[in-house]
Amino acid sequence: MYLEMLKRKKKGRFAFEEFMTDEAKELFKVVEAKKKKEVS
Amino acid sequence: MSLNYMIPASKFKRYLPKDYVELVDYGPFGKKYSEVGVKNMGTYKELVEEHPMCSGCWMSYYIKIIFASLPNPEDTVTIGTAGCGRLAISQAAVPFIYGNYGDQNAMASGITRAFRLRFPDRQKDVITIAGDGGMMDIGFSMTMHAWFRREKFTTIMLDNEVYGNTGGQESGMSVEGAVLKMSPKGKNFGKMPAMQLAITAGCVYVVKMSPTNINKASKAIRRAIFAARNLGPTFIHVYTSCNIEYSIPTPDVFRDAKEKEKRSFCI
Amino acid sequence: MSLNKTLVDMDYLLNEAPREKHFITGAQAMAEAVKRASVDMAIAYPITPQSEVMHLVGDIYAQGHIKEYYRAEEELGTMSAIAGAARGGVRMFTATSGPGLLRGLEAIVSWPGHRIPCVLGVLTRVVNAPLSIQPDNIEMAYLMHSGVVMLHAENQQDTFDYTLAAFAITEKVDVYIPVSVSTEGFFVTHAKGYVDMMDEKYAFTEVDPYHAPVPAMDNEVPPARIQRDAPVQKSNFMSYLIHSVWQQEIWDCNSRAMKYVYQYLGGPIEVINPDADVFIVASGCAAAQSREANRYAEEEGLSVGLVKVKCIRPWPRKEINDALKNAKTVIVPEHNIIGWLSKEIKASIPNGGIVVEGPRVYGGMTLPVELIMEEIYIALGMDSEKLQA
Repeated sequence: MYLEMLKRKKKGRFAFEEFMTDEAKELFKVVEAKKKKEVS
Repeated sequence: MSLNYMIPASKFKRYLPKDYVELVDYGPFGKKYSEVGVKNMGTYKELVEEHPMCSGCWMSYYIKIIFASLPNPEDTVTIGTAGCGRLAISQAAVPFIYGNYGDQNAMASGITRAFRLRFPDRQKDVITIAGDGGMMDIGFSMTMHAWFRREKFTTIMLDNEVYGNTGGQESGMSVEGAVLKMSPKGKNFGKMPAMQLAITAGCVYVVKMSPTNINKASKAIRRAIFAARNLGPTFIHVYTSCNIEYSIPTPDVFRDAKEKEKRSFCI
Repeated sequence: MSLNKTLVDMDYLLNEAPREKHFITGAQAMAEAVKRASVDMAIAYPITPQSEVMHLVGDIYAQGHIKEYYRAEEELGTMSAIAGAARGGVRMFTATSGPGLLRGLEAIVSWPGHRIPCVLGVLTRVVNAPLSIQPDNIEMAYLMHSGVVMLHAENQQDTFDYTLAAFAITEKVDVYIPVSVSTEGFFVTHAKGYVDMMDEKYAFTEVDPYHAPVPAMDNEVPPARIQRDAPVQKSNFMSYLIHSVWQQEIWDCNSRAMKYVYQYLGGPIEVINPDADVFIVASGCAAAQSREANRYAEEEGLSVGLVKVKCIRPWPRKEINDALKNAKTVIVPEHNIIGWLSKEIKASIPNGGIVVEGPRVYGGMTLPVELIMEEIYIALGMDSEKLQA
């Protein structure tokens, strides 16, 4: 199953429902930016 | 202290169980997410390995994803209730509180506030992980009120659409028409709208998913934890089938999850 | 908010700190004790009108004596949150009453096994139908089998002292189970009495969550709990063993609380006129009425003894046996229909037949001293008609 999930990840097709408040959206932007900075 | 408290004195180390020492040496404690996390599962000592869940259990997979996604496992406490989930959650190398029936979100309210009092400058993550029965039936009031009170912790509902651990009874999250124990003529109402309830009750981040994509599943968990630290309650409603009670052959478990993704667990 | 408190140990607080007389209600007395107990967090749910303790504790929070306080959704939520917060290593208080206690009982009976140190105020109230808001301590019978340490206060002064002592007892390493302080709703909670209190600048030393038989679950103190969980939830001999030794330990903890009952309350019972043949044994508000009966009897030249039971759990079996060893009759007045105290006494002494099961009042009735006197006259072979005269 794990391998199958990895395969699926490659295909990149998925669907889910996500809700976030504006505040959360801002927060995630900061988190993503920080992560990119760490990687580079 | 949180990271140091689990590291044994070097001379004492050889007397400790191998499992413990491996967790300290090769586990995810104190490591960057990029070094461990879901992408690297299988290459480090994971927080949950052996567990007593049924063969082909989709829930146990998701529980492994939860623990592989924790941003700060050495400073995390999980809380659960009766149900299949806690059989695997209690095997994780993270403090787990198993309280009374459906009380996980009330208990989390208390411990989150206690942590914030005692460690105002530190982050300690509290996550409640319980089934659909524990969250939406018996623990409904405590789940909802914790959200209304804007308690800052993450709630994860492992929805297998049935009381799996007690032998397959109808739950509020079972689908309409499902013939289960205690609904011998089929359930006569649909799934409770957990996601809408969470949004209405004030959760700042809510996800409803069938976790067929491991990275997306992990990202949602991490986002829920980050948002709970700073903003307010967060909720993940996740489909984790019960292949026993719904008679899903093990090889078809993933197919079933994909089907759910297309139907009741997507937009 | 810093209130500049002088932190002292419980011995000093109870016995040495200078006190002043105040005229306050039982509810105020309990809240005043909480004010001096360095409580970190209190969780409230209304059970008005039985008790306004948690309103008053809310005021104390607003004044800065308590760090955190909230109104929970209902009692099961309250008691569960207490269990969570106590595991987080903070000092906890809540109070409830009758139906609220029973609603929270599922969580409360699990507290001792979870090693939750906290103090629970129980301001007694009818629990059975027809539902009533009146005082009746039948709910204490349910608490007696929970493992919780139980103190029963007679009046406003007791309520103050016992509540303070409870905070010290519950956190003792060899106890570390919850302590409840009961007193009768309305009769004590809403009535004023004289209470000698120390200045509010004095407060009990703050909690040390690491001075505990089980560490707080805060990921701070070794041993780290990163080993796999014991399979208590399985059906095998290991699980039976784990559960049984654990529960034996809980009841041993309960017994070990007795030495602290001696230390802080001067013992689990109070005996007046120990050489009498006829004894009244009572706890809580019934002890106050029994004290009156004892005084009446003395005025009438009758020799009647009184045993006030301060501590219901641990049950002072030895002390009661010693006090009643020469008794011919034991009268047990109670504020409930089932007579839990008389049953305990009957089961504790070798000659249980000497126990008169009553008088009992319930559903909110007061306990007239005359009812107790009548039993005394009967016990002494006197004409009980004297009562009507």
